[in-house]
Amino acid sequence: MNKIKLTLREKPVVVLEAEVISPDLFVEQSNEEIRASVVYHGKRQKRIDDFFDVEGERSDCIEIHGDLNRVRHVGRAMTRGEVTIHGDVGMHLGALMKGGTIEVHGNAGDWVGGEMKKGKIHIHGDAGQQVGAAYRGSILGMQGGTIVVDGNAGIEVGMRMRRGIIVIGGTARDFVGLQMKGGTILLCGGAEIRTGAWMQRGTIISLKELALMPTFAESGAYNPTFLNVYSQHLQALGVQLPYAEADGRYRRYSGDRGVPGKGEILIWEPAV
Amino acid sequence: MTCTLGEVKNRADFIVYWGGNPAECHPRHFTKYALMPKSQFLPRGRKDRTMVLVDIRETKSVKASDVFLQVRPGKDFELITVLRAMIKDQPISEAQIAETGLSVEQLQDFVARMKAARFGVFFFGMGLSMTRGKHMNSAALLTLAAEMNAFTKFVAMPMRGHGNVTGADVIMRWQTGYPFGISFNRGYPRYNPGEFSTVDVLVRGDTDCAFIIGADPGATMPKPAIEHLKRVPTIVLDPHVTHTSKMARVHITTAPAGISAPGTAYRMDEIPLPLRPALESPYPSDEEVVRRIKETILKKPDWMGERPQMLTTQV
Amino acid sequence: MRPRGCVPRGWQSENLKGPDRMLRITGGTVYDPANGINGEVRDLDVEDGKFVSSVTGGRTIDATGLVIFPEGVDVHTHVAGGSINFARAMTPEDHRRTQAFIRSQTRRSGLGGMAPTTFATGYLYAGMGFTTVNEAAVPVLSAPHTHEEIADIPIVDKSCLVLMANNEIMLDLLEAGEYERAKRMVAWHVWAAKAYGVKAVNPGGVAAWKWGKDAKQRSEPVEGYKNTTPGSIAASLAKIIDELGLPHPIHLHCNNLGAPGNVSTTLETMKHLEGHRAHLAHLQYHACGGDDWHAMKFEAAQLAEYFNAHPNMTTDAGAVLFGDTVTITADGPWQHLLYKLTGRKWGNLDVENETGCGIVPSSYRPSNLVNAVQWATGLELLLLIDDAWRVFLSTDHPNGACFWRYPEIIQLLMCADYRKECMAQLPPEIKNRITLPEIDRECMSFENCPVEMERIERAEIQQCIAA
Ligand SMILES: [Zn+2]
Repeated sequence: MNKIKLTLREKPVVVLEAEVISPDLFVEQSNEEIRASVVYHGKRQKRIDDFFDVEGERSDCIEIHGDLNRVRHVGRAMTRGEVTIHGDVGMHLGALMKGGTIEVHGNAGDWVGGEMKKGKIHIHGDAGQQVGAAYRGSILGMQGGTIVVDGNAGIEVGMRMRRGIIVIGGTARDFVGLQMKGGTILLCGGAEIRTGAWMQRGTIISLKELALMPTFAESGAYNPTFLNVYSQHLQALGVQLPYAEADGRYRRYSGDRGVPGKGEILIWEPAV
Repeated sequence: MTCTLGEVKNRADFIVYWGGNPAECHPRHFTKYALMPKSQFLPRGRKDRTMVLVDIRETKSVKASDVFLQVRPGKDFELITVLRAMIKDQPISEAQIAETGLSVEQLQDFVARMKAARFGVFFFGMGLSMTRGKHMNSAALLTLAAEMNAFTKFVAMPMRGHGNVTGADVIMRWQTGYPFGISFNRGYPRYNPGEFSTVDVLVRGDTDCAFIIGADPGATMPKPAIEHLKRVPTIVLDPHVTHTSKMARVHITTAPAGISAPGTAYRMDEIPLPLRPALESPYPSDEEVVRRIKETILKKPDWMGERPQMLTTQV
Repeated sequence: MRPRGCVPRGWQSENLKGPDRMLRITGGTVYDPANGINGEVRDLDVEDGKFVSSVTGGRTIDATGLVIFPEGVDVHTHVAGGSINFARAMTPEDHRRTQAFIRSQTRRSGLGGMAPTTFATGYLYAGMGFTTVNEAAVPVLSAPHTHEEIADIPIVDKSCLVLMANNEIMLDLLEAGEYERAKRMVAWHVWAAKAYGVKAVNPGGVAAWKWGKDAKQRSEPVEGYKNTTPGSIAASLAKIIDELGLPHPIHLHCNNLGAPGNVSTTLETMKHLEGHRAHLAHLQYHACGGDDWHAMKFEAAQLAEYFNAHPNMTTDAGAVLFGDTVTITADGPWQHLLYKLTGRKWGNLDVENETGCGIVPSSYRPSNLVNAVQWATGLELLLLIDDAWRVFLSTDHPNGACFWRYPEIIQLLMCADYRKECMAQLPPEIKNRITLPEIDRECMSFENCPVEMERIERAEIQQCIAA
């Protein structure tokens, strides 16, 4: 398949803002046009080929190599295509994204999929803070799509999210699902403190014990039927979600009563 | 949800200090604004007011308080959220309340007092805003104050630290729309605390130069940030020799603002206080130094390149 | 207050030297109702800031194909000071989605939107042909802050009004019948705040709000007082301002803003003010009939009729346009009501000795009956008041809509067909609540040019600034 390959020659000295690395733009551009695309190195306007070797043209399939730790806004607001990154990547990966897929073989910075609407992001390493979260002052965070992080994540995962699924394979830090309004967060390795703080609606599932806020109340244990639907969906993403009664059950908590909200937190209790 | 200190002085009959030690850190706060003053509406001064102190340990301020609530360290956010639930009559179990280090009776009494107040005010200090949870802890208290307005008048106000922090915040807001954590690299202001806030930028090493006016990050910031300041050319404007000026490539001595250089300081409630210089200084003011640097930069070739006048979609 | 970098120094014409004193504008189509010029293509010559019959030398601007008309004046807007600055802090999400001004060698960066930054405010107003704006609410305590912001608004001329009607010292003096001392107090406040006039917001109501209450009835004493009523405060202030000879009359924001049935309050207020000059601010918000939100209809016709018969008054429309905005006003009680209605963010800022100010982001929707009626009422007022020289175009920025949307209102006023098109999206229940569909006046019918009457105010303001 026709592919565009970008290789970062060396790590930029200061932050490189490269929202132009997007399948929506590259699909219509010649190699020369891609090379000439404007990126911001700090306050200065530069060309992509000041930093990257560019191979290929007119494709919505982009492969990037190198340590992009300081490269931000990759795949911003993209609606289609594929971006694969071999190496670490900086903040705002796939923020405001409306479609397509992003895969990172490495770690990602903060705001992965911030306020995204649709599409899929898979981080094989760790993610930073505010995965799928709302930017400061916005009412809604992630509004759809899927984010899977195999490693750990920072604070405020899914802050104010409305719809969509976030899976954290490792441990998340504080304030998972802060002010969440809907959607689902799956925590395979548990989380630190204040999970579900101020949530209004939505579901947080944890496969490990959680230290909950005092404003959550236990309301029974069960094996919700919607979980086997979810389980099948997640299986396709390589995530195992237990749901069979023989394996255990979920303790259900509702809250946050401080709001008061109707969110639920399900904590897996394996059968002994 | 805030008001000026004069409003507190004249009207507040219920005062809560949260995560601060005003007796030692803001000694004049009690006498000038919050506790002692008599007013038309509170003719008996201190006797007409109730003061509640919420903190993790007993400080000298306890003596001045009517009620002291000792919250378990790191449980402020939980406690405020429990209070948010309680004012709305949401059931919270005794065991859950106990997690915060306080009893059901204590909290019921506190809620009853809050609701009975005519004009309540929360002052919150660094004990709340700089501990784990940070801006969410402050947000929690602001939200509680907003929700209390369903019952009575309530406001919340931060007890800001030294210097003219409020002034910087106010001016940044009118010039850029944002209070702090702003980047101008695209030619217009963008805001994202965590991304553009000074400490985060330095810790990650995202800059290749630092220009510091009237602050001493060398004394307060985490080690990686200080290491980065040593690595890049750092320019400091300060009347004094500071930790930062010692590690800086350039230190320009300036006239101390408010003492030798005129200007406006903003009190923590955003009331402007014009400052008239009392002493002469042989050194230029910060403003003059910055202006001259700017004039020199303007003579350099334009690095902005072709950019539109206006953008309708921002990044 | 020292002017900051961006304010062009020496911009006053008397400071200009040599050829800069002269300006020639050629080939433009000129509209100037005050001088009976109706769409003539002609050249204009300016010397020392005044029109003259001819100049030699100086700069020439080719205005061929352009329209030249008298500049706009916004008599009631909120562009500088503590409350709009609070609103800026509350709406980062709006700053992100709005237009951004990019810095250049001659221009500062800024952001537009619901609460534009100071530099952007100047650029946006100037871009619409406005030259003078009047910040309508300044608490005396933070007036220096307002003036610092004003110094950072480039290009346009600025003035401001000091808030008076809830000043406790004032109320105490009036309660004690100390009229003369109250008058000196007002004079001192105007001087101390470096204001152009006096604004009275919800007389007595804000004072009551500080206890979480409101002043609903004009004839009942204000909370905490025996004799002082909202009506008596407004009347005394109007008298004081006339006697002090301030160029701008009392700038009155009546009680019960936005509440159903407040039209009776407004009419009563107008009667109280007979014999004095008065400016009624954002009249649209004070024109509600009916007893509750469901029965609510707007009584623009009734108000306009009274207004037409009383030449002592001027007003601004406080028109509403559909879309997102942030409401900010010194009227705290109304804000709390809005917060409860919309459930959005709410900021409140009480300043001692005068004011409270509330800030709530909200949006006006055509599908919402109340909003739709408000939209129609603002336009009705502008269209039904016969003497266009006494009614100003305003949206009470940012409350009804942002000032940079004025061109939309001007289009609505000038074009009956466009109005009909817009009315089509209103809910059907609106039929008997508004009179807009029956009005087919088109404002630009020369003798009634609303832009024009703003010129008079401008002359006044300029005098004051010069003084
Ligand atoms: Zn107004």
